[in-house]
Formats: sequence, structure tokens, C-alpha cells
Amino acid sequence: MAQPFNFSLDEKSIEVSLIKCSPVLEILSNGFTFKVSSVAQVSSHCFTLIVDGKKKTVWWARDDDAIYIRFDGRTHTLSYQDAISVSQQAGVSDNVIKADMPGIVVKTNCNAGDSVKLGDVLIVIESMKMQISIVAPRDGVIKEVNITANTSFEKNAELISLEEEE
Amino acid sequence: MARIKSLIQTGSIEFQENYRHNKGLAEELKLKQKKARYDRPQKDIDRLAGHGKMMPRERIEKLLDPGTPFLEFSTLAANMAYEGDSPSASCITGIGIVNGKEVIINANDSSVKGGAWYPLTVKKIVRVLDIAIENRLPIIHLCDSAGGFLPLQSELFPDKYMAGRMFRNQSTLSKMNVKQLALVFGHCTAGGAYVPALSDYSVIVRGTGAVFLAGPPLVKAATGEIVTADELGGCDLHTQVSGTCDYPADSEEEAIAIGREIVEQWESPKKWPLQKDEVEEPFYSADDLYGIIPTDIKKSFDMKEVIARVVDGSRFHEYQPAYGTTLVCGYANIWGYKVGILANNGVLFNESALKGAHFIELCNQNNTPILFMQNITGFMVGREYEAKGISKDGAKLIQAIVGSHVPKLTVMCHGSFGAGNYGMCGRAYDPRLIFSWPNHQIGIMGGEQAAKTLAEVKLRQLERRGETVDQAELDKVYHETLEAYQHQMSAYYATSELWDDGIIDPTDTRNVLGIAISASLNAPLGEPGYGIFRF
Amino acid sequence: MFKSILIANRGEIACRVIRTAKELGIETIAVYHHVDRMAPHVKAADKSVELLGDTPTAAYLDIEQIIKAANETEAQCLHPGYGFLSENAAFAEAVEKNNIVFIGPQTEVIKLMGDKIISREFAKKAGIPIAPSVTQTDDLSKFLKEAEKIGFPLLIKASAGGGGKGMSIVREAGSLEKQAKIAMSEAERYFADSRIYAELYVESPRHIEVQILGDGKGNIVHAYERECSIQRRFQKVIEESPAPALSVELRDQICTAAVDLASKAKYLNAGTVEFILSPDGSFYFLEMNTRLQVEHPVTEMVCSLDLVEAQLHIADSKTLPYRQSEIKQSGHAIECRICCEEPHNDFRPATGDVKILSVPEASDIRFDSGISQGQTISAAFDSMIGKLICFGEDREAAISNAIAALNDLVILGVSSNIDYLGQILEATDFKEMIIDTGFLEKNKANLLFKALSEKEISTVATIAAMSLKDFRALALETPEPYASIGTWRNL
Repeated sequence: MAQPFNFSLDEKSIEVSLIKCSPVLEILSNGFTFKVSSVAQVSSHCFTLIVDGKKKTVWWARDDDAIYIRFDGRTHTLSYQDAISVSQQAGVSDNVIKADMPGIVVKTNCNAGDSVKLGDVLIVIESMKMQISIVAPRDGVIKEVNITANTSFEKNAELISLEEEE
Repeated sequence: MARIKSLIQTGSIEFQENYRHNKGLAEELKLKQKKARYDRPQKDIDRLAGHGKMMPRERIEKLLDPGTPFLEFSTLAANMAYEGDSPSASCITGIGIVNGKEVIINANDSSVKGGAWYPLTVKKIVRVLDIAIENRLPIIHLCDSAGGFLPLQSELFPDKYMAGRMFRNQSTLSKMNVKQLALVFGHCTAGGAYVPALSDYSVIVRGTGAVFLAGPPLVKAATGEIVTADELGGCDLHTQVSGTCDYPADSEEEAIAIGREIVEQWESPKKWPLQKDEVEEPFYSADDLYGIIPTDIKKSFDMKEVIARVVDGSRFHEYQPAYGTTLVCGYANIWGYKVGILANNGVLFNESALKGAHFIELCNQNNTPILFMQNITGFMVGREYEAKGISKDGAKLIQAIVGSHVPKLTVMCHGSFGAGNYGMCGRAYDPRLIFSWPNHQIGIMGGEQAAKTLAEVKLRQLERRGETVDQAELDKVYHETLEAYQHQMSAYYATSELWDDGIIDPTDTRNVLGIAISASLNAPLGEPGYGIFRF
Repeated sequence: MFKSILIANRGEIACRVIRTAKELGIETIAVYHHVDRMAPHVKAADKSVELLGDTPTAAYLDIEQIIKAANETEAQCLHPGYGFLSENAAFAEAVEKNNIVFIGPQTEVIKLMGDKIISREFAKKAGIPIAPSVTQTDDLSKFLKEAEKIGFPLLIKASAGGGGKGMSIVREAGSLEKQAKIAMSEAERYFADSRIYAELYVESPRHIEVQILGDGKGNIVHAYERECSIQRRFQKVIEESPAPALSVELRDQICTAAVDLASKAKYLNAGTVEFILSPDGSFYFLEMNTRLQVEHPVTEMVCSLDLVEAQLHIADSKTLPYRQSEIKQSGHAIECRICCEEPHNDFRPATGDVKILSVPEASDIRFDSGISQGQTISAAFDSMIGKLICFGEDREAAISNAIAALNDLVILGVSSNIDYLGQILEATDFKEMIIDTGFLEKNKANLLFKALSEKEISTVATIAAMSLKDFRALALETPEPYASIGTWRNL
């Protein structure tokens, strides 16, 4: 079977798979089969469809990993991650930030033990006549800072390491 | 278009006998294909699981869009070769839908001897690449192979259409702007390294995927260097340092997800606009086919009954219904697509050959794909017919076939013998796809005919030498010939040798043709042009 | 009429005031903190001035900056909205001192009514019924003794307080002292004034208030009453006008009491007198709010008048815009306060982006809000982001109109109480007018949605999948004949 789409609503996981496209959509969702037809767009965030014989008007909005849905007088928030994000999350996270190319440290913005947020500038380096800011790839705590200002480093040098994610 | 009127009596004894026989053949086919697809030694299943690898068919199922069909080719390739060591010739090929686009799947089956390439593996892969070239279908390679099966290297390496042809075909596809994606799940060794290298996009799984011209053992033998597969040609080396592979993936699932997203970026194919009507299910049930096909290869049946169970609404527009009646010609729709059909109802006479050639020209002029449904023992023989020029007429039929610029498809429904095979667009005449039914037989002539002929030859030989005629010896020649022929004439032998693109259940014919026609529309129509018709 | 007005507020009330000001051709000036720079009230105004503040709330409470802004933009008058500085006597005084007309009552009246203890004394002297009570003076033990004498249950309130803070119910003598001390320290913490008073607590009271307008010379008209009993922890959730199940006599008595009080105070401009109505028909003065109330639209809809326009008229001419005989009630209006909160999570305030805002439009629906699609709701301000007010020929029609309007109202991206409000309106007790301030607590069980069944969860996920571009493409854009052939494999 093709990869199902994975959602979670109120802490419950639901796997949704498309079973049939024609003449009517058949969708399998955690063991329940639904017949869906007459999908029509009303506006960019609103569409109507018939689910098991009942017509519904649906409003939706999307975040990076959340879907907001309103139909039948109720609003629901589901979390959803596309297939690649799910696989990537299951993989190993990078705790060590290495240098892509040789260069010199211009300044360091953090120390071991600091709490940092995704996107915080950790160090500024200069390489190939350009200054580059190295930012935190995720929220975390700095484990070690292996370089100091005005020192040079080689390609693949380990510049900063983060503590293991909890 | 009028509906074909079926005259079959489903209650008759003959129908019932045929039904039992052919349904049995279909069940046998199903069983053999299931075995070829899934029966693997437990140790091989365990080995893959131990490496964190999915079974190759599982990868394909996850790659394909939900709710879509997969037309698999030549499942029983190599079923009568190598003592059965290479089920499906160690690879899985077919046409499927990935992210809404028609693609060809070319997957190594690493659950069979590590996915090593037997000679028939190479032939099957070269064939699927040819299909990609002829139909301009993008390809997704699922790479996981130990490389060439060395003990049989002379049969898979040196010649024109052997292993090298794979990479030549890949390069040709690239030249033709037909996209290729390689998902490297395992090893791509030696020649196999060219598969991702010649692909437009490649994804490689960290830890298990590796690409190298020579694996660790060969490297050690050649230069003494000791290095692991991952160090030598693993994910990080090729995605960060060498640039041989484009996307790293931490798992097979991630590689498949990335692969699907890559396909999403491809532009939509430009298919040529074949006439398409609303689809209508055939009026008659396909199940009847089991009762229509005779149990004996020598017995005949009415092809119109077969056509009635394959085409939309069982509707058929017959061309020249009163002339050359041993060849049925006409237009019909299959899954809404307009096709021209040529089908045998007896041997080919002069009139049938002329009618066929003319109809083929009409189809070409009308930009209509042509479907050949074979049940043919050959052309009519005898002085009367030679005098009328049957050789010329057969030649004209062949010229028409070869000069066609529309896609041709062939289904070998029963016998396919001698020149009849040629005149009805056999393998050599470049049908885009050619399939057979389990009851199909193929040979230069019928088995009994050949056995009788050779026994006759032996008799003449003995007489010329003045030796006494030993009936037992003549019988031996007869039986040995018959046996050999029967062995090599069966649909299973033919498909084992990849003389066709697979045996299909007669009731699947409609679905197979619908997909085949749709896939064939991706290549632009060429220019019509025939050779000299010897009038 | 004034040439220019500065609105010292934000959000929906600022938008509301700007709307009427514009209709009257008055130049509108908005003030805003940095976080509100893209807010609708800033966009709607003709001019705007940024206020600096460590926190957004601090900016809107900065008297000096606001007056400076008014002076610099030559605002002729200033409307304080509700909340923030609207009942701050010092602010009103400063505004007037700067020769800007304050749209509201006199500074002394604000002071008078702002102090719960003093205002109650004033009401008592004016002959308005008040609940038996005792004020805490320096002698705590005397206070406790007097409080006990009133009887239980008792309601302890902060004198300088409001908004439900520093309030608690004491049901037995044993806990009186302890709760009194807690109330005093809370009062000190929130209002910098530890004075408390205790009054008889009416069980299951109804909260009825009367809208009044005064010309500052003792002439008062009223625009009838509003029912605001649907409250949670003393915060109003749903208001309506007229008050249901109120006899003509009682309505008359209550409105007359309100007018009397306002008249005695020589009240200027708009105000609301709030009463507690006991099940036995007796009513007591609660407090007077010297400003426009959040729920004023229900009065406007039912009496067909524009209260902001009335305020401006009075501030400008010091005369009343209508005679009592000209104000008539017709039909029924219900207001639902739309809040960004999580009803299933103890109504915790919610933050997020308003990704989708879709408001039903009809002549009998009014949506007063200060938000627009794309806005970020932060924890900086109150969780109420708008009001949905629905009109009907009668109460039944108004209720079904409101239920339908809530159904059609779409706010996605941040949790809201829309569905919860719908549940309240559907409740049998609400429809049958069995209403008092304990309504929400009493009906708690059937107001929050029951947990979704397995099938319902699957349905939601299925529909969510259909909203995803990727899933829809697989479902609707698979080419033929593949889509029709379906999941087929050759044998």
C-alpha cells in the first residue's frame, strides 16, 4: 500500500489512505471507509464535498505542521507532517555543526551551557572574502564551543556542538 | 457503433469444457506468478530485514500512488532457466503512476541472489529501457544489486544488446529529454554504478546505499586498499564530496518520499491527443473468455467473440466485413481510446493480407493506434495461392506494419506460428508492448507438423542411403521432436526467454490494453512512410 | 460638532468609535503601541500616533503620552472607550485641563462612581435599594462582626476593584476572617487599595443593567435594560436586550431607579447602572459604570440608535439628543463575546495567527471586531477579539439567528469560543429563560462538547486530508484510465 497520510487529533493518531479515485473517492481512515464525491472549491480556503451522502461546507487553514478545519459547526485542529518531514524526524539529528569550508572565526556569540533558539546566530565566520553567520539549527543548549575569535579552522572542523535533544 | 452480437452458448458442453480448462490455466498462471514474486528463501528475507531494507515489492507499493494500477511486465521471465534460481529474472519492471505521472519502474530484486544480473535480467532491463525509449516514459530505477552474475558473464556482458546496452539506452533516454530518477537502496556495483550516474536525479539511502565501480573485495585485490562499502561509495561521500548522488536519505521511506517529491517537480507530459470517448464497460462479461478459447491449439474460435469482451460496450465498427473474412478488421474503443483492430479468424489468404495492409494504412492516416490479436498458424499454402501472389501479399502486410507511425500493440491469444507471427506484428515488428495468454503457443510451425516433417526427412534420408526403415527410429525422431517443440513452444518458455512482455490472464486484457494505449501516447507520432509495396 | 477626535483605546471599541466618527465627518486619530501598528483601528483612522511602552498595555495607560498625542494632533475631543483609562478620574481631569473635551462624565462623577463604597453610600442616600453591606474600616474585628450579622452567604469585594478581581463568596462564618484577609491583600496587590466591603450575596441572581444618558444638569433619559447574567467568573459572556422574563412593572422600577441615581449625580453623557435582581423580585444597586459598555450594541439594535453618536452630541452641545418618549424598544438582540481561548482547557487564553476570518453578512447581524485576517493574537491584550450581535423579531428568532451566525462565523488559526457560545444558545435552560449568573456553572456538563467518537475522529481526519493539496491531487488528478482501473495488479 502507498504511504498513508498521518494526522493526529487530540493526541490520537489517524492514518488516512486513498483507496479508490473513481467513480467516487473511497478513503480509509483508521479502519472506517468513507465515500466522498462532488468536491467543489468555493473560495481559496473553503470547499464543499459530499461525505457518505451528506454535504458539508469546509473551511481550512494550514500551518507548518497544523491543519485547522471547520465544518458542521465545529472547529478542529489537527497536526500533520508530510512524508519527508516525518522520515527526517525519525532520523538522527545533527548535534555537531561543522565548517563547510576553511575560514577564520570573526566572533563567537555563545558559550557552553547557553540556551539557544532555532535561528539564533551562534558564531560569525569569514571565508572566501565573505562573512557568514552560523545559526542554531534547532532550539537547544550549547554543549561545547570549539573555536575562539580570530582563530582559523579547516573544512569539516567541528565548530560548535549542541546537547542531545531530549 | 453497433454492438457485436454474441452467438456463444454458455451452457454448451464445449463452452463448459473450455471454461474449466482455461480457468485452470489462469489459476496455474496466478500461482506461478505468485511464487515467482513472493517465494523467497527465509534466509534472504531475513538478510534484507537485518539490513533494515524493505522487500523490493514493498518499495514499489510505497512509491506508487494509492488507488492506481501497476502493469507488471514479464513476471515469469527466466522461469524455465537457471533451474529456477532467478525468479522474475531478479528484477521487477512495469508501468505505474507516481504523483500523477506515468512512469516505468525498473527495480532490482535484491531478495534473489543479492539482485545479481543473470543474462535474462539484463535482457529484461534492456527491454524495459527500450519500452521507455519508444514510449518516452520517464523511468524510476530502484537500485539494489550485487552486479553481474559472474559465472554467466559471457552471456550478459560482451554483445551488442547485453549489459552495455542498458547504459547506452539510459544515455539515449537522457538525450531524448526523458527523465530518469534513481533511488539507491543498496549496492550499485561496476556497471551498476552507471545507473544512478546516468540518471537525471538520484537519491541514496545512508548506510545501505553505495555506488562504486569496484566493490571493497575487488579494490583490495586490485590495489591492496582496505575500505568499507560505505567509505568507498556511501551516501555521504556521494552527496557531499563527489556529487554523484543528489539527495541523501536516512531511511528507505525517506528516499521514497523524496523520490515522489522529485517526480512532482517534473513537467506534465505532452501526450498526443488520441480521440477519447466516454468509457463504456463491455456488454459481455470477460469471464466468458475462458469458455471461448478452445482447449486444443488446432481448434479455431470466432475472434469477434473475444473482441466483444475487450472493447467498450462490445461495440465494433467492422471494416470490409464481406472481404478477406479470415482477418477481422475494424475500429473500436478501449477505455475510451479509439483503436484499430486486426484479429485472425483462420489462416491468412491473399484477400486477408491485402485487407490487413489497407486497413493498417487507414489507421495510420487516421492517427489511430493498432491492436493485433493473434491466433494464426500461417498463410494459406498451395500452388493456387502462390499463383495469386500470396508471398507478395504477405510482404505488403509486413511493409504496412513496419511503415506504421502509430503505436502498435499485440496480444497473442492462441497460436502464433511462422510467417503468421510476422504478418500479425510479432515481437520483431516493434509492437510497443506484446502480451500472451496462458494457452498461447509460438513456433516456426506447429509441433506435430514439425515432428511429422522431420520424421519424413529422416525417412527420405534412410531411403536415399538404402538402409532399412526402422519404424522405432522414425517414431523416436517424431516423439523427440514433438517433445522439444512442445517444451519450447509453450507460453511459459516464451515468456521465460523474454520473447514477450508477459503472460496475462485473458480477463485482464482490457485493463492491460487501456494502460498500454495511454502509455504509448507519450511519444510523438512519427512521419508515415512505407517501403515499396510489391503490387 | 467636533472637527477631530482622538480615540484612546484599541481593538474593537476603537474601530467602533472611529466608524461613527467618520460617519459624522470627524477626523479620527488613533494611538497604538508597536505591536498594534498593523491593527485595523490604526488603518481605519485618518491619523495615528505611536505610543511607547515597555509593555503594550503600559502604552495605552500612559496618560502623558496620550495627552501629548492629542495636543500635537489638535484633537478637539477624546473618547476613552472602555477599560484602560476610561474610568480613570485623573486622566479625565488631565484631558479637560488641556482643553480637550472628554467624551464621558465629569471628573467628580467618575471619582464618585469609581469608588464602590462611596458610590453605594450615594445610592443609598438617593433612595436606591442596595444590598445589606458593611464596609471595612480600620477595625477588622468590628467589620467581621457586622458582616456576620448580615448573614450568609456573603460576597466580599474590593472597594477599588472591578472585573471580578478581589471578589469571593463566603458561605460560613468559619472561613470569613481568612477570606477577608485574602481579599484585602489581593485588593492591595491589584488596585493598590486594600479596602474591602462585604454584602449579602444573592444566590442565583440575574444581572440587569440600564443604559442612561445625561446632560449634566440632572436631565436623564434611559435606553432600557440589558440582561448580562451569562457570566463566567464575573466576566460577561452573552448579553441580551430586552431582559427576558421581566415584568413591565419591574422593568419600569429598575429603569426609574437608574434614572433617579444618575439624575441625583447630575450625570453627564453615557453611563450604565448595574443591578442585581433576586429571584424573589427584589433588586439591589451593584455599581455604575461611567463609560460606554462592551455590550452597548444590543441596546443600539433594539432601540435603533447610535450611542457613540449620542455621546458626541452630548459632549458637544451638553443637551440630550432624544426625549424619553422617542426611545422605544423593538425586537430582541443577543450579543456573543468572541474570545480567543480554549474552552476545553479551562478557557485558557489562546494565542496564534488569525489565518482565516470569515464573517456572515446580513442586515440583522453585526460583527464588531478589531481584528482582520492575518493578524497575530498575542498574550498582550484581553482575549476578547470581537462581538457578534444578532437581531430578531422576538427572542426565539434572535436566538436562532445567533446560532446560525455563529455557525457561519469562521476563525481559524487560533482557538476561539465560537462553538462553545453556540452550545450556550442551544441549551434548553437558555431557550426557556432559566437564566442567572450561575447558568454556565450549572449547565457545565452539556455545554462543552462531548469527546468525539472513533468514527467522528476518522471523519475529521478524512476531511482534513481533502484540504491538503497533495492528497487532493492524488484523489482528483490521477489520469485516466488509471483512476478508473483503480488498484489493479496483473494477477
